[in-house]
Amino acid sequence: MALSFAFHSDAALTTPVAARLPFVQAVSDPVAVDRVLYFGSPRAGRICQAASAPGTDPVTISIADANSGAGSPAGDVRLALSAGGLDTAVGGAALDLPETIDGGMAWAIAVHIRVLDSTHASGVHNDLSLVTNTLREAPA
Amino acid sequence: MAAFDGGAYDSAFDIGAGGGGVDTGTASAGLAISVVSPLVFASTSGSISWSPSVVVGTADVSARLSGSLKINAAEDSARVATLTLIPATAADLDGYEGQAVTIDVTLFRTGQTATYRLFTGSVERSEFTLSERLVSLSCRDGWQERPAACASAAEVEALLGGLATTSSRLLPWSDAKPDPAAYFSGLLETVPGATAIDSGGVWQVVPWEIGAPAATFPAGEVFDGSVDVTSAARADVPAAVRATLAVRGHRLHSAEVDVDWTAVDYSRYIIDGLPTLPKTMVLEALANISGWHIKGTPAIVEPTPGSYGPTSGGAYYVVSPEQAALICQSFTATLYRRWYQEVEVVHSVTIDLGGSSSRDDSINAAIASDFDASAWESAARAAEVSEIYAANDPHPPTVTPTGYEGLPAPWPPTNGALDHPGDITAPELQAAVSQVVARAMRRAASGQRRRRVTFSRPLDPRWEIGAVLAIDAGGVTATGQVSEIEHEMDIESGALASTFTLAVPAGNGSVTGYTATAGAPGNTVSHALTAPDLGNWVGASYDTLPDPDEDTVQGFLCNVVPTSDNYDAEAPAYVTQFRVVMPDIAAPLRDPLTIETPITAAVTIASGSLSITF
Repeated sequence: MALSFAFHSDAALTTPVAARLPFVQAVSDPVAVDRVLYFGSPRAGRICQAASAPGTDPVTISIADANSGAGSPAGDVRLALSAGGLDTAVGGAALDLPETIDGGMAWAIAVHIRVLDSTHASGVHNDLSLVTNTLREAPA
Repeated sequence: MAAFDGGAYDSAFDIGAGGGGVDTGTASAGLAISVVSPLVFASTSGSISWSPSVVVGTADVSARLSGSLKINAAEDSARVATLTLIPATAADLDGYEGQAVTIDVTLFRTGQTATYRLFTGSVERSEFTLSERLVSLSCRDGWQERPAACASAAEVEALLGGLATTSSRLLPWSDAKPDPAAYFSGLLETVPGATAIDSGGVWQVVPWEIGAPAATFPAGEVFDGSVDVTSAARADVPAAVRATLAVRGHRLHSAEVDVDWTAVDYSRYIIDGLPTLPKTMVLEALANISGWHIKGTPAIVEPTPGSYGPTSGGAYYVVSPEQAALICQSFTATLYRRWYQEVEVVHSVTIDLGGSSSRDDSINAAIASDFDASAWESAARAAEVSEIYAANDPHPPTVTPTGYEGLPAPWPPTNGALDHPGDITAPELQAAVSQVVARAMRRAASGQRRRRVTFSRPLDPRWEIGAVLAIDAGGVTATGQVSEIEHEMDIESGALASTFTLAVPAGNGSVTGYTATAGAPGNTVSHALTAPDLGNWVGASYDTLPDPDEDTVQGFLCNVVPTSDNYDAEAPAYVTQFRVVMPDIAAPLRDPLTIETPITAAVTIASGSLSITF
């Protein structure tokens, strides 16, 4: 069965992200665009942890580049747990979440994303995605 | 086939508990970084081509689209999309409703590409036309569901980006019976802005602010004949909006009256056989005056034991110590009364809109104190005070007694009044006042924003609800805020257009907002009640007044004995008593009272600009 923990477009965790999250950048002099996704599960009573060492290793979100060398580089994306954190986040760096994340709307974690294009190459770059480490979801 | 197909059961229904087993996997979310050139949107000579990308569930149905694809968005409502497609199989018809939908469009121009998300939502309804083998999908985003999913007041308030004005009195949140949709709807009426879910599915709160336009479209950038100007209807812009908050509380009064009495000369006891005034009669009389109470303890003076006289007839009046202890020779006392008056303080402000409609466009609200004024008024001090010691109290009071000990608070000033809000705190009052003003502000701003300019141009997905745009075409020069958007793409003809509706309010600033401060009604109540004149009224005497004003017959009422030379069998004889008639409370100090007090408020409405030339 699929994980119930996923990225959502709203804090209430009602709308899982089913399609690529769009960012629009001007080809010249682009301005950074910030968006927020929410990671969590609408199912109260469930928890998720890193499968590598449940409760010890953190849940992490990495920026995966499916086509390194083409499209956008991972460094064009910054991740943070707050809007203010984006200013100091390192482009391309993974984001650590807590070791254990509870299910339920109240425990949704806001993941702030900032994109600033460095390619200046007109087109749609679909090579980047946010991917968690392998997770283990279980009853709380 | 089995009556129930267990394989069709989706455990995703099971969201209420933490059941289920252990699952492993990863979660992911793709990013689409569209690097675009503004040249794609230039309406200069050349051509532009486009292609839609529609994903229903996990299936890309772009190649099956037919007819037109239309997307509508507006302030404070769900974004809706309608599209028609050719289903691949009959089985598809059962699977559309509830599926997630995204609609993207890619615009191509020589050397330029731009992909934009136009819609994120889910299929609300599907309708299959058998004759054409087409299915029409009606889709919308989760604008209604989003507030309803909130579990706390804070979550609802967060949805409004801190722009809402809350009032726990006027719009309370109940943890016992949460109604987030109603709470959201109520708060939305106070927001100087609008809400929407953008094309990417992200909730947005858009302040009503009109600054410099992000883009200006001259005649060459809009379709000929597409520019329309709609004036605000007369009913939308009344002459004024009045915001009123009625606060129902109590004005608590307190009045004191000093009374005193002194016995007749001792000789009357001998000559007329008058009775002495027992202490018990005084105390009983003072204690039983309706509505009045004794402050502290009356100061009763006993006669000094001894012989008084002789009179001209040689008689003496003798008072033993035992008798003296029971007799009141004179006394002073303070009587007090506390009473309440129901008061409705009406806080109000009138916001002039300059409209011509005389329609009553008022915001009215009321809050009430739960103070039990009746219990406060009727509580007797004697029941509260335990008087054990007559003297040498081992635990004497540490402060000077006021005489009001044992009475429930609050204590109005002596011979004055106190406006008591009960359980309504000052911050709650301020919040309630702010909320009615905020509602008035929104109503005023909404009315002004009914003045609109609409225009169409080639598909332009750059702008969302709230964007400030300007137009200078067809004799219309206007700057306003996008309040409605319609994107329409025709698959067969290739035509595509965006229609924008700009709210162009006639305001008085660049940012919609308000300030409001509750006024405090003045209270200059001062009581000066007339003390009753307590005398000695002797009946059955030749000196007895034949028909006195009964209101003045107060004090000790008694009669001469029949054996007295002054006895007059035909003169009025009194019922022996100590009579006290306290002054009445005037009706204006007792009847329900309404006090008007202004709210100090200022409302600004973001102003657009509009000029029309022929």
